[in-house]
Amino acid sequence: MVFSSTTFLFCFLPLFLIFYFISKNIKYKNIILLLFSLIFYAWGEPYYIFLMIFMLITNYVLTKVMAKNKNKGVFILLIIINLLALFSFKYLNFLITNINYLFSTNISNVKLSLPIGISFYTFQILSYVIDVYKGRVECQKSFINLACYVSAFPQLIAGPIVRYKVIEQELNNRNTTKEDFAYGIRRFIIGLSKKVLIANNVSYVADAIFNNGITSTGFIGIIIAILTYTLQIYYDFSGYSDMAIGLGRICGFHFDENFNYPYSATSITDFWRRWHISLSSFFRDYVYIPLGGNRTSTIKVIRNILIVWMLTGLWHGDSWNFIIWGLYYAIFLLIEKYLLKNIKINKNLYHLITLIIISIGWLIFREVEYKDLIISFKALFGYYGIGSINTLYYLGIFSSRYIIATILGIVFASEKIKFKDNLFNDFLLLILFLISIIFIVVGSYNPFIYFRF
Amino acid sequence: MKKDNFIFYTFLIIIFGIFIYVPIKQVLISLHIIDFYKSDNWKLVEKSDDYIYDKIMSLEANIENRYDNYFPFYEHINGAFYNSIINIDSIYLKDIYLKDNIDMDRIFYSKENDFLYLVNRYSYEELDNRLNTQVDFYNSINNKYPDINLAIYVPLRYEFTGIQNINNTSKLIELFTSKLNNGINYKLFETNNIKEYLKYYYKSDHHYNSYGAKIAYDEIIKMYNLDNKYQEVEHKLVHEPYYGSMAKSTLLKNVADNFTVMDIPNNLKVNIKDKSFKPLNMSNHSNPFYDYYVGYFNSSFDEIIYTNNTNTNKNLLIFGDSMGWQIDYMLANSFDNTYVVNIKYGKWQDNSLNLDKYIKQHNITHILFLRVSNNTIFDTDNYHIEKKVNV
Repeated sequence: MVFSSTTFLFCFLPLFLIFYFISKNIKYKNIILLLFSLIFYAWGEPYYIFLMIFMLITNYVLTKVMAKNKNKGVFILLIIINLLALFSFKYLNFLITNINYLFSTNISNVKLSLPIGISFYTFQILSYVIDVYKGRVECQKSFINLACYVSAFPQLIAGPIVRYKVIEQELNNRNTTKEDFAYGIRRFIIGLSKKVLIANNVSYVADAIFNNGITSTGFIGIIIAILTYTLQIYYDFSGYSDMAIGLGRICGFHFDENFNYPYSATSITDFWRRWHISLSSFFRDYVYIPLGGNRTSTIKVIRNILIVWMLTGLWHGDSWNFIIWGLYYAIFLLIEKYLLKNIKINKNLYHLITLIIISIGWLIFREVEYKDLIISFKALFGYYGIGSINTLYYLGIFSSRYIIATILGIVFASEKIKFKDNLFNDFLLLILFLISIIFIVVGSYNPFIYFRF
Repeated sequence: MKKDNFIFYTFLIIIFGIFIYVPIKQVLISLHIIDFYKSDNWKLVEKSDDYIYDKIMSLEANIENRYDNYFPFYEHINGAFYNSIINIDSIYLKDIYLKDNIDMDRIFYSKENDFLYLVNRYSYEELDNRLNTQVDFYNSINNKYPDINLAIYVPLRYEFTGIQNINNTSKLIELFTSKLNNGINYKLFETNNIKEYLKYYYKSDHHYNSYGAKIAYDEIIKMYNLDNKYQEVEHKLVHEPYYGSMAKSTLLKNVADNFTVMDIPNNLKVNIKDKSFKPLNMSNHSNPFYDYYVGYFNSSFDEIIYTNNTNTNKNLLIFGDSMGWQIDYMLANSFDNTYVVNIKYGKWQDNSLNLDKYIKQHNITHILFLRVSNNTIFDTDNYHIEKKVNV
């Protein structure tokens, strides 16, 4: 189920709120949260719920065994089980394809679809297992509480990757004040508006150009496509995180922030402190630092950075473009770390350069097919000419809703614009909520053209 | 705390208001207190072999269908949304993009001429590639069966007419005809200006109207050198207003047509799935966006067989779609037997048609391709007729 649907907003959410707030006891609240989270997860694809339940039970039982006498063997077993599950569903076919290519073999792909949110919940489980083993957190005694931590519907599908220690206390004891609830509503509406009003609209423009003819829309087309895709990915992802943080707050959880105006970053290093914070901090704490981090020889630091960014890329998807995308950032981070550290560059100029590097990065990120990536880069360097306005016109991208969404997307990406809690802004938010509902309702209508007997 | 009251209560009123509204509407509909027509936005679940899975999916679809389709003012919100888009965008645009339909064609509204038209989703290069696949298919039939009278009739959709030079696609049409074998009869239903186009095509639908259909009939008969059995026909108005497929996709009521049919008695024997069939005659429907076009013209069947009491020794195989529905029975009057095959539907979804066998079995002497131009030339909807029909 997705947050931006009529079923979630007007059926699932009201029902959840009734049951959740009728329960006074935290134990019952957690049971309700777990049950609704399982329904939320199973919606549209019921069978992968069993995989998640299996992973929960396995991790719950084995972590208890591990915690008893700090058993390293069980710890390694747990790491292997979790990574193996992720590997099997997400990367096995990628591996098979590459083996077939390299060794001219003909191994068949495995017919497994990717369980939604598996990358997120596997990393949450891993953070729990590692932190318990390292003695940073206590082993959770209640299965319900652990299951709630992993599967709570607000952050289940698209993060943020919540560390166990962040909500350890709140799993056992939390309250929702009216202030929390109102804050949650505000964050949820902001996130929903980001997703529905900005991300969905600019995504139309990006998709229309990328899918329908970079060769005929030329340089102008690829510039518009990169700009709108850069906005889409930010507003889509940060919008989802806002909704997750908002819903979490309604339930009494205080999740960490996942985005901090990343397009206001003044360097690539700064960008990764602001973008998908929960993922980059996960890799920093659980991969980079255990590998030696910065406190080792230069060669090893370079190695560590390359490993972390290759894994960061791979985490996003089972394709070479994601690995290239990760390594692309590793190179810029190394340049900033070793070559530019003593060079003074105008802040505004470097902000602009950063934005260009990020945008080109998104182009690599988007184009899964090698051929498409080449076409996009050729267009970027003017190979297909300046482009045809006529073709862009008939892609429908000049509609006011897309122009307005793009302008709003650029304006609200700046950290200078922030919402303050006051009555007028609450009124504006509710207007945004109503407009978002209209867009959701309109988007839900897609009739068959022909009458069906 | 006090400052939070406004957003807190208003938000809850909105979500709980709609949460309660939907089941109440369901009860009122069940008790027939209010009318509700089930639109084609009502999603159906495809059956699988898994009973439990089907049950869960069906339950989910039921809930989703209700929270989508019973949403307060659902139709009005959709119509008003696109009206607003038209009003705002027409300040600076001549033709306004509204949305993609279910086939991923883009629906545009021409403010100047007050009609809706479609633009396909492919680049010029992609269309060029697709064109070659279709040309190869037609040529292969002609090469293998040179004695069969093969004809292709192409009622050009607005975007391919060249009236507005949309993405230079009219050039591709020329390319298509130039690549066809000399042994293939082809005819384009061309319109040279917008006035002519709107005379023969609906403003709110991608089909030709009865006047356009009559032109199509005349030209096909002429292509085959046969006697025209319907020189003069009356056109009968049967529905007004008629909101065609593009109006239906946007729920817009400001672009409407008159729905006319050719007043011709149909005395042929019609067989569908070995049962005799009478063409439907739909009365007024409560759904203003009801698809009368489909309702009137036999609709979505995989194979229709017309049997005529003549002895012409001519049998026609039509590879058709909705473009054929208005005139297939008229054409059938000039043949002993006419077989109308629509590869989109029924048995052709899982089976291919062995053309050799079909020709021999039914003694086919004439083959006609009469489909929408975007599929005849480019297969934009990916029906892959070249794979479904084994030559």
